[in-house]
Amino acid sequence: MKNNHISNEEINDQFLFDLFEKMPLEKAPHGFTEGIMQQVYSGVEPVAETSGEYRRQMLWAYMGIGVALITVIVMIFARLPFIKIELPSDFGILRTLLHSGLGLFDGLSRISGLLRESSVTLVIFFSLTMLLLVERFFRKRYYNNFFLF
Amino acid sequence: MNNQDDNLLIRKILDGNTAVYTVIVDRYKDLVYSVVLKILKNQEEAEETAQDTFLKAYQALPGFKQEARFSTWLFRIAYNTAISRTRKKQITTTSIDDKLIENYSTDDFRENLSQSEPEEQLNALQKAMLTLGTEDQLLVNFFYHNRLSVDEISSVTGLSEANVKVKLHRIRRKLYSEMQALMGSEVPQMR
Repeated sequence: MKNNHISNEEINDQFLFDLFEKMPLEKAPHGFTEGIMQQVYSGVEPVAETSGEYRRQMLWAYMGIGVALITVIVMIFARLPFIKIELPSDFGILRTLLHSGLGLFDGLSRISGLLRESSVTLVIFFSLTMLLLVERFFRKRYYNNFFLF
Repeated sequence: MNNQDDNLLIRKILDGNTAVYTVIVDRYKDLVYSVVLKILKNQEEAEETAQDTFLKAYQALPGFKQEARFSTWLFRIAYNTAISRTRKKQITTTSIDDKLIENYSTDDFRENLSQSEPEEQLNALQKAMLTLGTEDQLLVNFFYHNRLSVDEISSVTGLSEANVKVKLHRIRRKLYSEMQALMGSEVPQMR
């Protein structure tokens, strides 16, 4: 492409416009409209693809991820003796946080072992997240290509 | 085809008057069929794809923002549906011989062509169209036949506006040179 600055005048060619107008157009086969209308009448319906509608459809997925996340947290906390989260007392919030933080450092070596033990839960959680992300990615691309103007 | 009229019909369909969609299908079926046939080169596949296009369009009607012309929106669905059907096949694009084309003066061509019989011109155009690749046929058809603007073609095909213009410019020259050759006239050299 040597020339990127083509003016409209260079392509607006009345001679070609007139000639193309005389060119016969391929005709859709007989019964084409009836075929489509049959399918329309048999239950195909316009689907509103608004973001609100999309969020409503995806509610189950978000709930699934939420449940998986809670399960992972519960399992981690139930199995990690070094993370004993004490409910904060009136004056001991800072101390509790500090202890929990230190407990995390102390128990780092055991975390890998725990991850192995809870790998099933983690796999479920990450799979769900990946599924959701992939679905969103493809849906977005699909609708960008087809329907969004 | 009046865009306001289309929008009015669409509003009626969305209000529940499904039968009105018949008018839309009747209005655009030949245009859509002709576009997908140019891509697929097979009548059966073209018919199925054109049907898919209208069903997809029907389902997506609530998402049609009436800023663009309905026909452009419909062409875009048709184009994408047909292209996704041919994803495994390669869309044919013929490389246009730059040297050959740049030596031609389209003004001289037009001058010569306009002196011939209209039927002869039309026949030459149809034959010249066959020498173009699928993409080029579509572009020239969108512009000169369907009267889509460069901006609309860009939105249908996903090509940039500059690219559409450059391609149209070269295809136009190629068409003239092919027509000239087919009609047996002397090819005028660079002016």
